[in-house]
Formats: sequence, C-alpha cells, structure tokens
Amino acid sequence: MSQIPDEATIVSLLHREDEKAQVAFGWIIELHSKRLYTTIRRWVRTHEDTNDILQEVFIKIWKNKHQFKANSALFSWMYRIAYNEAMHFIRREKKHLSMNLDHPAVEFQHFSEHFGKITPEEISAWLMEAVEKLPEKQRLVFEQKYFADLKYEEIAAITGGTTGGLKANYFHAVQKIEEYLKSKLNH
Amino acid sequence: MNPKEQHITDELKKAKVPLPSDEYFAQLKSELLSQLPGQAKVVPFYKKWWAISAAASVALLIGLFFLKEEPAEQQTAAAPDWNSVSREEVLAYVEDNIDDFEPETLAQHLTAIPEWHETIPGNDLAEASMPVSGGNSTNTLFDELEDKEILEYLNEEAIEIDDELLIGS
Repeated sequence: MSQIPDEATIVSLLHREDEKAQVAFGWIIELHSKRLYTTIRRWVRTHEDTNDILQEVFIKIWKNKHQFKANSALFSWMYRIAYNEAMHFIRREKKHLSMNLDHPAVEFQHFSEHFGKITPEEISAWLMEAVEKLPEKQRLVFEQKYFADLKYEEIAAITGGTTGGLKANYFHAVQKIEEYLKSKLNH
Repeated sequence: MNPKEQHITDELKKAKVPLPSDEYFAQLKSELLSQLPGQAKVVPFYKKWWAISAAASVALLIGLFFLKEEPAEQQTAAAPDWNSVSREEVLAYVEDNIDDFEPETLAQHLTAIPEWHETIPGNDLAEASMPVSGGNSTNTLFDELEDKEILEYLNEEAIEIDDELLIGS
C-alpha cells in the first residue's frame, strides 16, 4: 500500500488535470471520510441521510477543488462544505436538528434537579441548536473537542491554528452553549 | 470542583455516533472515484476504426440491397404490337387466358384494331366485345348481335349478370 503524502502534496496533486488528481482525491476520501461521516451523522442522525450528504460533499469537493487556495487547512474547508450541505438538507427536508428519539446526541450523566423533567431527546435538540448558532470556527472546534474527544494538538493538525487559539475558541463556544441551554431550562 | 464552574455540558454524556464498517468506506471511495466527471473512458483507436468499418459495411450492404432490388411492376403497359402477332394467335391466347382479362380491357384493345370490328362467326370473344365506358360511337360489334344471342352466351359462360347492364341494353 502506497504511503499517503502530506496535505500540501495532496493539495498540489488535487489541482492537476490528469489522473494524479483522482489519486489525490482518493487519498482525501481515505483520510477524512470517517470524520466527515461522524460530523454529518451528528446533525442528521440517520445513516441513509448521512450517506447521501457525504457523497454530495465529496462530489462538491471534487468539483470545486480549484477554489481551495490552501490558506486554511483542507479539513476546515471540507467541514464547511459538509456543514452547509447538512443544513441545506435539514431545511429542505424540514427536519428538526438532532431530534431523533432513537439516537439522541447526548444523555444525562446522572439525575439532576437542574434538568427537571427534560428528556435526553430535548436536551440533545437544544444542544445541537446551540452548536448551530456558533460561528464556524468555534463550532468546528467544539464538535471535534466535545464530541470527537480530540486533543488540541490533533485538532490543530486538521484545522490549522495554534493550540492556544483553539482553547480560546472552545471555551467561548462552551460559554455560548451554556447560556442557550440555561435560557431553555429556565423557560 | 466549584459547582458554579461546572458546565451543563459536563453533566451530559455524549452518545457515541455509530460508525459503519470499513467496507462501507472502501465502497464509498470506489463509488466516488467511478463518478468523477473527468473520468471519461478512453476508446482505443482500433476500436473506433472497427466501429467505423462496421458502420461502413452495413451502409454498403444496405445500398447494394436497394440497388439490386428492382421496383415492382417496372414494365409499362405498352400497347401490344398487333402487327407482329397474327389475329388467330391473339385470339387463341386470349381465349386460353380469358379469366385474366378485364372485359373493359378486352373491349378497349379489340376495338382499337380495325380487323376486330369484323364479326367472326363462332368467335365468342369477338362477338362479346363490350363497349368502353362512356360509349364509343364507332363500336359496331354488338350491332350484328341480337340480345338473345348475347344472353345465351352469357348463360353458357356462367357470368354473373349485372342488372344495370341489362336495363341499358
């Protein structure tokens, strides 16, 4: 099995017009399809919808490959495409974000009077609504840190930026989500 | 930990996103690569050459087929050259193939020949020559025949009689 080169090499090959661009595209699928899958699935909650959106995302990545100027990390660019496609899908299908009775995004660690009679499905829906309201960079960092349990160094590798900057993004994201959930709980 | 500093999100347990098998992602990759718009199939030149040859051969066969096939009934209905054929021969032929001739055709050709205007005794065909539609004032064949003789002839030949013809006679 040939070794996958670094991101800069992959991007330079991707911009070519010969078969090497297709090879680079295959490497991108290998490197990022699982991460994109889990990201999309967290929003749309079913495998079928996730599969459809994921294929659309990769097709758009291929069609717009020349628009990626390498001034940000490749995954950050792909994440933006994935997020836009998922939101477009949700609005088109008029589906509620993460309102899935079978697979809520979060559950309660333990009983807390804080939550009262709120169900896991409701708190999951509020949480995803709060995440959706975040700016793109904060949303990406929060998802990779909170849901995917990545270390800041790993997040920096796929999104670019420094670990300090990523920590700041994460704490700002948590603060905004807290405010949103409290407003819902105190309603 | 200060409870006030504890975030709501810390009290939540994240649900694990179910991940499909590695086969799914392998198939996803192959499907996506096969859909690439730029992945046009390269047709080898020899295949194109054969395709062109096959098309040319078919076109040639079709052309030969149409060239070889003659239009039906190309022969024109040329008027018979009565001068090269004796009257007796014509009469014999017509009599032998009387069923193939339309009465109007017979009358038309028979009246065109001056010799046929003669009434030949015993020759039913000459005697039964019918006038062409619209009437031909020069037709004198029936002048020497009586109605009775005509009817007898028709009965012998078992020809179906059209009542309208009888009214006109």
